[in-house]
Amino acid sequence: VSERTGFDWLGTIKAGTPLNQAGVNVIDAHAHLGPYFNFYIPRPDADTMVAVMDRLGMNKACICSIPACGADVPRGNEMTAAAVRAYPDRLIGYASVNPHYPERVQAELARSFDELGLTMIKLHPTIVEYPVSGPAYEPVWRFASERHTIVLSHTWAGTPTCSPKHFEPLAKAYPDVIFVLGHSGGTPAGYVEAIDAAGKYANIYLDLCRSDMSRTWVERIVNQVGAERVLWGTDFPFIEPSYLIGRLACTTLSDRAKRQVFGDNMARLLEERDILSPTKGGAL
Amino acid sequence: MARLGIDRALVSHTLAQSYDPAHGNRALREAIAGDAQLYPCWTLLPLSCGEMGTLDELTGQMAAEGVRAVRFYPRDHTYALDKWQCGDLLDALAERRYVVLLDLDQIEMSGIEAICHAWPDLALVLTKTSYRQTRPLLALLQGHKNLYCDLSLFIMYLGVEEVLSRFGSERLLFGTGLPLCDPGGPIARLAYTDAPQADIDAMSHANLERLLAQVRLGKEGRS
Repeated sequence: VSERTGFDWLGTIKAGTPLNQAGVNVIDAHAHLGPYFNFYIPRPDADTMVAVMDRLGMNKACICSIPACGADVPRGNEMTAAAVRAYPDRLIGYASVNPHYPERVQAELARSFDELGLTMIKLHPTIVEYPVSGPAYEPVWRFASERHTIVLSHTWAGTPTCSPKHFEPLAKAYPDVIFVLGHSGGTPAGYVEAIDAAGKYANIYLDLCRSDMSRTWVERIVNQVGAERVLWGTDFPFIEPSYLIGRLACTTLSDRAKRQVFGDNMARLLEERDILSPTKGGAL
Repeated sequence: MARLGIDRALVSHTLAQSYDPAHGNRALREAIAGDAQLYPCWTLLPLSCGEMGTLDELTGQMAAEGVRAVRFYPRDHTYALDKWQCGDLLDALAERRYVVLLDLDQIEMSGIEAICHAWPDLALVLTKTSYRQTRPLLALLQGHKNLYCDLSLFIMYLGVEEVLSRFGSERLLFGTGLPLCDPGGPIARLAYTDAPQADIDAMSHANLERLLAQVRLGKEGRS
């Protein structure tokens, strides 16, 4: 039980109480949508995902459909947008691009924001096999700066495309863009590298979206980066979000830190950056 | 365990995986001596090099110390958990209805299938299951009633619901992976499962209790 607020995190979890009903704002900063060729996912549709969110007490999820991550980016952006239109109060859409068609990057972002109603950007440089340092991503950074939005990218230590350190020059060049390092670099070596990058640039945020991150690493990341720059994410429907709820809720972090990470930080970013306003496309 | 309300645990020593199984099993004995909440799970090797003693020595020692569950790390320890290299040992463990824990990253899926097929009396518990292995995992659970999964990293989206609807609650066992992983995830996973209390009880303790009770420690079939 938290001494300051009296909130019983373990008791709330063990009772199976939806966290939002207990007064915790839960926003999933890193979620997807749809099936995937690599493995079986039961019922990865928006209806089921929102039902799972209801059961767990997740207020919102920021989604990028699986095909938008690489298999068919325009189709995927449309799939993301359809889900957001079906659940405008629960789902927020990331647009993505295929850097191997550089002439289409700017136009696809403009279409995604202005016609489809997507409001943030998600990149998966590993799937598309293109480095974030490459010129085809330049229009992405400029667009993100112009629209004052957030870029979430998959990161994995040691990869040639998106190791956490690769985001340092981008964060320096575009200080008005929030860069969220998905998976915090993915491995213990990556966590160290991501913490180091976040220590250098205030516009770098880390997310805790990782299947097997230990409590020790969750606490180390939050304590070293500062709870105000860590976001909660699940990768669902790849990963079962209840696991990641339990992992963060049962840490020894302070009540305030848990609430910041679970959703207060993302809510602040959404508000500060006007992510849900019609000018971003969010009301379409 | 006290902080999170976990009453009892089946434990192995990390040295048995990362240093030497014989040393690790001895370290485990010392670490849990007199602790009523912790039950030993030894880490075994094939008998070919004599590192575990003879089969009679090993099974006798395990019986004397109340060891009802064992682990294998065939990938880390460089052998094959199959009839050729471990047949005599697995025969003896199956005869005694032992509980065998196996991390999914230690063996190919076809190897798991072969073990389940050849030794149906072993209770094989897969740990460190991956959300990326749902296709073969569900096929294995469908084909072999002696296969179980622990919940320490059973992290596939709606995975528990999928198993409950297909196979019932008998095949899932609560587990945490402590201290390498953390109990918060599996605790929440069970708590947010909309299953009858009987199924929750089965997964949280009764299934493992039943499997451990079936183990015959002595040659005479004593349990």
